[in-house]
Amino acid sequence: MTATVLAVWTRQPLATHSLTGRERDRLAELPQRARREWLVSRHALRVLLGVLGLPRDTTGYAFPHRRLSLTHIEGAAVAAGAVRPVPRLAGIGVDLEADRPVQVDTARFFLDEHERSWLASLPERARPTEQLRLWTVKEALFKADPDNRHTVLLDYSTLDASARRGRARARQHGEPLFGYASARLRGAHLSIAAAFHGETRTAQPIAPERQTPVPTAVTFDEVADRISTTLSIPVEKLTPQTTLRELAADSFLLVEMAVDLQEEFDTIFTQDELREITTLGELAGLVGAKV
Amino acid sequence: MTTLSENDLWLLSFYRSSEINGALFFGRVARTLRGGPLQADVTHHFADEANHAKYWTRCIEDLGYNAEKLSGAYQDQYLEAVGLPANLMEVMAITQVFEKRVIGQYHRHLRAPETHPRVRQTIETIMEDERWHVKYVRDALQEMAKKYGQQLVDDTLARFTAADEEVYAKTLAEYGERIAFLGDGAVDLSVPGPA
Repeated sequence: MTATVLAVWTRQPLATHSLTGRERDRLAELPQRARREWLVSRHALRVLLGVLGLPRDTTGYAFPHRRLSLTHIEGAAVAAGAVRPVPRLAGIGVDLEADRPVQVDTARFFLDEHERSWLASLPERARPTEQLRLWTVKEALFKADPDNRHTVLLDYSTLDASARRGRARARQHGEPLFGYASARLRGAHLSIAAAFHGETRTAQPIAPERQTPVPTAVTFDEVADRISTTLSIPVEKLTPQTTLRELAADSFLLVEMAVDLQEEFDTIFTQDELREITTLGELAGLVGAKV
Repeated sequence: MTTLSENDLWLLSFYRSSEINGALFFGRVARTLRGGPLQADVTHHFADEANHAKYWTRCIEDLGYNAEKLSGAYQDQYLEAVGLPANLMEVMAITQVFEKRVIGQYHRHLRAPETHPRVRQTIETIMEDERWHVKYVRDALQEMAKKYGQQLVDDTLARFTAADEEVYAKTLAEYGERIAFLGDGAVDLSVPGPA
């Protein structure tokens, strides 16, 4: 089983005029010095949500999250997300660390005996960067674990510490099972991990089957299906980047599409909200944020 | 064959064109609605608008002419002035304001002394439907106030009413000569109050 994960990196803060009401409230609670960094991370997350067709209000997500993760270092942020729901996927974790000097003797706090042995076998000049990479792997594993409230980094073990793409496990409970990948990104180490439940335990579906006309989560695919039906356009042609103008040059058609989505998902749009929407991904995000 | 002036023919064709646009619009709205009274009413409204276009087409034919092909309609200017209605309540609110304007315009036409009996008959037939349109839309807005809030409904009606004044004034400025026979030449900017 594999999970395809998309990562969005940015140094640009999210424009404050595009914040939702709840995001504005959250920003106002932050001390001035923390606001830019928060906006940068929200920007990465917002773009990712748009591409994945998920609700755009970033305050609607708590981490650890089954499908998303977020990390930031000074001036930059990365948001990572599973491209599509995977039945046994339990969580996604991402970590980014800029190159910096490391204290070699701190390895004992987050690397197990095997990992430390492998690290010690490396030439001395290679050890700091590998130690930093493994730090990001452990952080990503920790973040991906939905049951991480009582764990520390040392509770996660890689099966092969040298692997850039490998597997890992939680030492104490053996589950979930993890896959991870590491890469260099603009003078930093980036690691992404995915946690999977074993076959004996089935994760809750990411997009639950609808039991009522009101969905509890709205995916891009659901919105695309509706629009495909309303506008008689093959659903394969609809992507998160498709612009509304491409779909409906006729303004009456746009009204029909907007009203139909509100009727289908039992929600209400305002003119101000619609005015900000240019792509289907953003429209799906708006629907999701409203339901 | 009755002699229709160029302006007469243009105005009757304008009515027809606006009714066609109304039918196309309400057909689309009707398609989006879930089951319930509003679905039935909007579908009825859609059919009425299509029928009104038919009435005008026949009326013009009976007078010995063919309707002119007109590119724009009054509704297009509404959307330009107020933006696209963003939700069902806004669709109903803009309909309420528009229907009142239509009734006002048709009344004005009936008062014109030279109105041809065939035109008068057509307007009177259409007016019966228009009164029902205003009533069902008003009832729908009252029901929607529970969901959207009375204040928002009132604000939306006020916003669209202001836009209606602007659009009607522009229409008179643009086509004033064509419809001068409907009144004493003064520009009528009166707008019905909220429902």
